[in-house]
Amino acid sequence: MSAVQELAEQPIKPQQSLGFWATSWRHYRKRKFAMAGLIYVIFLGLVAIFSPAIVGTKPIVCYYKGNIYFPAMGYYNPSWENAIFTTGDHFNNRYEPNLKQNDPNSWAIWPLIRQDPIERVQADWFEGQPANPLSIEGNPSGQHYFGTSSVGVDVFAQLVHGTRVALLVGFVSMAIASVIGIVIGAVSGYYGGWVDFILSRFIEIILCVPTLILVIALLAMVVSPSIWQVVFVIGLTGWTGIARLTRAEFMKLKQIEYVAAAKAMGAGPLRIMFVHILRNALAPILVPISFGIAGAIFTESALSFLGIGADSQTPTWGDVLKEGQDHIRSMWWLSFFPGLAIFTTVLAYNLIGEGIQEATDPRTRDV
Amino acid sequence: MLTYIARRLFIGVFTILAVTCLVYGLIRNMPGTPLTQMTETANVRQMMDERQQEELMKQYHLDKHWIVGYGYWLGNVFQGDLGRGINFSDRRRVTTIIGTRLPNTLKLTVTSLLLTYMLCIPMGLYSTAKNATPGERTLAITLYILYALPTFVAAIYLNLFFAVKLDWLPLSGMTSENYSSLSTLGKTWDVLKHVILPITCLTYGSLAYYTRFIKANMLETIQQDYIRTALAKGVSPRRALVVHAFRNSLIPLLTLVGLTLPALLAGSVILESIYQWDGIGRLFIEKISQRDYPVIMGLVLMFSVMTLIGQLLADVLYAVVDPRITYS
Amino acid sequence: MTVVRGALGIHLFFSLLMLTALVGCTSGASDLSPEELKQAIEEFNFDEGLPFPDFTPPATLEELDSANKWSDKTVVDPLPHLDEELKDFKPPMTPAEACEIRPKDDADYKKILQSMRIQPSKENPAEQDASWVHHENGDVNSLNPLRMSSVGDFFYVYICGVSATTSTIDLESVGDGRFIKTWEGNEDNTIQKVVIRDDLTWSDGTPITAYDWEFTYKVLLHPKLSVMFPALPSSLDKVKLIKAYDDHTFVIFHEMSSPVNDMKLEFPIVPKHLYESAIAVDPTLTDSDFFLEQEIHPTVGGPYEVTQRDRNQRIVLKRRESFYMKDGKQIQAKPHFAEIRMEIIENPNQALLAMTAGKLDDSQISATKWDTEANTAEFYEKNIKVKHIAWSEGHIAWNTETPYFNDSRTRRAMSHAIDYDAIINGIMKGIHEQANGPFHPSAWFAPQPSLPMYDTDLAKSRELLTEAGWTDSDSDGILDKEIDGKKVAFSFQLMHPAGSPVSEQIARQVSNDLGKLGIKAEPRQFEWTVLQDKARSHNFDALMAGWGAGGDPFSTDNIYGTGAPRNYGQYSNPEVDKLYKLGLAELDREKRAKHYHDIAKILYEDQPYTWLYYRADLYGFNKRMRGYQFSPTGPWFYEPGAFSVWKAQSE
Repeated sequence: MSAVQELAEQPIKPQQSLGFWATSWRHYRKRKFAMAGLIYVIFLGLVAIFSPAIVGTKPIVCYYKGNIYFPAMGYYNPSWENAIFTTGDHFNNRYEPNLKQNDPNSWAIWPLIRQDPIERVQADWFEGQPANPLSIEGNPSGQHYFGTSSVGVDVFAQLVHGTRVALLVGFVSMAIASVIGIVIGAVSGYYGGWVDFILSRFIEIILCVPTLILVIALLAMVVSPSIWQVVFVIGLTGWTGIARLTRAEFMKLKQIEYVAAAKAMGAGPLRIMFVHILRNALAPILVPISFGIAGAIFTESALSFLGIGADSQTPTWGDVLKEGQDHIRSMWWLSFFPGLAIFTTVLAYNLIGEGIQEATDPRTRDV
Repeated sequence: MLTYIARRLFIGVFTILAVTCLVYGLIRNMPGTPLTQMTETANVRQMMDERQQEELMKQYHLDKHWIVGYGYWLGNVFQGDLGRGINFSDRRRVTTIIGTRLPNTLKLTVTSLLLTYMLCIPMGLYSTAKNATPGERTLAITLYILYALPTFVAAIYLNLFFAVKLDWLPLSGMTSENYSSLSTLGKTWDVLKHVILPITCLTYGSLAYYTRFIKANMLETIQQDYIRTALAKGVSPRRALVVHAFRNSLIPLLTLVGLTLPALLAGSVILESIYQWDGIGRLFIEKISQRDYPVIMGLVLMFSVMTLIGQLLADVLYAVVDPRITYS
Repeated sequence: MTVVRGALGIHLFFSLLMLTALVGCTSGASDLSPEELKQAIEEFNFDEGLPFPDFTPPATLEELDSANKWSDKTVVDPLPHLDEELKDFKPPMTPAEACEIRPKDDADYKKILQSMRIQPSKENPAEQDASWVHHENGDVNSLNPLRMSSVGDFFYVYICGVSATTSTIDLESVGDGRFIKTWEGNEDNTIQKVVIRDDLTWSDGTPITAYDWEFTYKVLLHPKLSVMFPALPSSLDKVKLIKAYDDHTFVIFHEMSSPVNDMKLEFPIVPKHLYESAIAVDPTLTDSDFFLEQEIHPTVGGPYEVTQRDRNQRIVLKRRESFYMKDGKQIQAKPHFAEIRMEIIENPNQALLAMTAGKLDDSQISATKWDTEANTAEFYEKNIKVKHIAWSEGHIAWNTETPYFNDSRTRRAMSHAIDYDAIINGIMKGIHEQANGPFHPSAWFAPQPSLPMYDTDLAKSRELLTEAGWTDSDSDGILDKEIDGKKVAFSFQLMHPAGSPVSEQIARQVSNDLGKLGIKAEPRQFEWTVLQDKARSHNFDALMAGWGAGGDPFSTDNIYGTGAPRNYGQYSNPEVDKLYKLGLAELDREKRAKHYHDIAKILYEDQPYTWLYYRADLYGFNKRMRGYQFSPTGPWFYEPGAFSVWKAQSE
């Protein structure tokens, strides 16, 4: 007894200081594919954040009539585009000629590529830049890396700006689903008895209500539904699988000795559940979660395939892909590039999921 | 055990009451009624007049509060009557409408599920045995590629190649037009030709999930002491893996079977609409957009019953394979 | 434990109930004796739905004839009439040459259609007993002609059904010479007398009589049955009675004097000798063995009959010998095809693939694929495509009860703000043409000379908006106006149906265009049924939709008349209402046209809608198909229409 106390009072050794997550990270780092996946997702995150600076027709920074403006912010939210350019001086998105014409002293820093994710760039938008080609003329070229859509919108611009939605859809919906699923599953599996009985019935009821009905009902209730309502529903209905798996793992793990040991040492139920049991149960639960993040992207595009999508002012990968399936033979680039984007992202998520799973599982990570 | 099952079934009745009540409330409160699409005909000149509409509203209790409507529905269900379709597209009894479609969907989903298990169990075992080797990595990446390929894109390319270019397989539909005049063998061949493409599309995407699921559980199991004991006692690694370890990772797999049971009935909306497959998936989406309440309720009732049975099945099987789990 | 046993008992009880119910529903056949049947028919009282039960028509034909002065109406036997018309017709090129055209402009399409007009001859022989694979993009709901509701149903009835009148390629009502001999009207067109042919039979061999028309009319209006028939009862509105005087003569009495009375006889009939007792036994028209059998092998009177029906897959129609032959003599023109197979393919991509592979003989092609997928070498290998402008329009409906659009100046400002060039030539690739009103300029009821198109003129729009009181008073970039002491920003939702890429692109374009004026138009797609519900309850600001016009403009009062059921935008102009009333009653064509011209001019100024385009019909045909021609509503649903189509011999 005293020896234990002594040990505890000693300065902690470096190896011991590595907690659960740090150890997992150390193991995760060793996995090349998993790291590649992580780096890719971080890269996509950067693309999403800086999308208006990469592709756009609105200047990142410009000096106009004595003031400095950031019109590119309009890509995040249309109301963030300074009114002077829209209703004030009626730029109609043609910044270059209007800046020059209205204020000879103006200057602007432009995005790397001057293309718009929603509108076709016309001949008079930028000096020396021809109008975007339409329809089957829109082959990928030096001017348009990924080609143009049937109405002449640059596909590269659509995909870069669509990254924002693609990442958020997966993360937000699965974050909602995981939190609900793990909490309900954990409580249900750990306590058993009446708690388990009631929560299991709840899981069953949610499982039985078709998602499609919920989506239509919810979208109809909201006055101005956007992609976020869809994401919300995907999250609210997608947790039952996670909950059931968590419950099963908890039922199994709570009978293992270390739980009894933790209990004996006076750990509270919350601590036992979410500190002791959860990390051991995490491995199998991460499988549906990482697939779910990827699946949410599919769900979003499937919903738009069925005609139950959200607002059409936000470019998404699914939108481009949907257009692509109408022209699968004559305009291959409309299905190939968004398909590639979805594919690489889904692949990256899966590699990350697999990496986390193996890195967090003490029984497998040393293999 | 029997007591447990009986109790679960008894409770199940109340769960189903809750689900149907919830869904009925939801669909009744969605914008639109069954009449919304029915009054829409191809011709501006021809539409149902007020009198007809009122008559229909009365007949289907649409003029009353939804809870009253639910009461009528429930009362009829207790008398074994699920009602009949409201929309003009199909006025037959709900049991007939669902009954004629269900076998078509099962034909696709059950075959696909069996195929998935037949492919994934060996692949999962292989991945466990050869974890982190180049072979396993290649397999995993290949499966992920398949998983990430959107179904409708794959379907169109498969059609293009097998149905248009080579003309080996039919483009869509469930049988050929001369089906009824074929011999038994000819009929089987005809059906087989029609199911190949949809089943391929239905199956390839799920391979990654199942394989990885099996592998994850197996990796966990083979670390356990009893496997080590078995190996120490001279059991061959192959036998230890397939017999000793695999039997134990059956538990989560069985949970999964229980969870997929309702999906077998639901079918796939996208594939059914691409292949003109007269199945439940398309029926459901079509009836939701028509707001055909009796048919929707019939389908939801069927889904709920199967979901609960699936859950129960998973739990019972769970106890059968794992003696640590008991139900009192 | 007792609880459990009880629960099990309940379960057993339920399942038994289910079983009995299932067994119960398969029966329902009539096992009644002839007397009982007669009684059932009497009890059912087929006269119950007559709108004027007190109206007593003249008792005999003589009485009727002496009271009225008849004048003949046109009766045309479609195929012989077409042959007559084509006697001196010289096609601009041979069909084989036309098949090689890769059409680029309207002149090309016209050349193709002209060359395909010909009927089979020695130089251009038809394939004997050919079969035609016709594409439908939705299932046939019911083979009972009275219950038709979908486009597939209409096609089936069109091929297999019997009706007294039909319309020509110019959408004029004429008597159908295949079924009737004469059609006469009295002076004010309130009574019409029809004499039918005496050599017509149903497919079960029973003769078709005038009583079938009287019976069908009564069935359609019967209060116990009316909820079964979606489309037809409303088309018999303002008909007082249809009465058969003998086996071959029936008379239709109308409520008011109107030229549109000529269209009332366009409904299909059902066999009285079978339906009368069947309906009396089973008013659901669904469950009894008779109606179940009718849904598979219906008794028809037209040129084709159903031999096979696979739900959601296909319907096979076979040429009916007893239709064109009687006692070894030919009594009607022999239909060109031995078999017509309606293949149902809902997915447009699949349909186009099937067409490309040569597995469909005709198919409608969506505008988005017209210049891409339907323009490939593979497509042209086996098919050609034709385009014909239709009298249907696409528009944005403004809800005139909202603060934004209650002023015609704002609505005109909207119409001047839209970049038509970007929509017509950019988004729609010039496939459809710009519109300026509800009536297509080529129709007799459209003003002549045509009204000018609305042009894109932002300065004009700004001027109109300022006049209407919309200014950006707070410089937030969005126009606003003070209404009842509250500042309202010009920001609204532009509603459009989900799943249509074209309307999505148009909505985006419109939103951009209006954005230039400082108007925030948020495009919102809605599930079709939600959209319908919102439209009908007027719960929207602006709605993108389209109307398909018929051959007569009278029905558009359903859309622009005050309080009309399809007046979603709540437009109201007493002048327009008055003109519609005048137009409905005027028998003189010239004077009548004038009323509709005036309506078009008022709508042009009021702009309850901003009309965007007139839709073109886009079809692909197999290279062996011949004889198809387009009316303003498409290639079918007029006479001869589908019956003039034939298949050339393969080389």
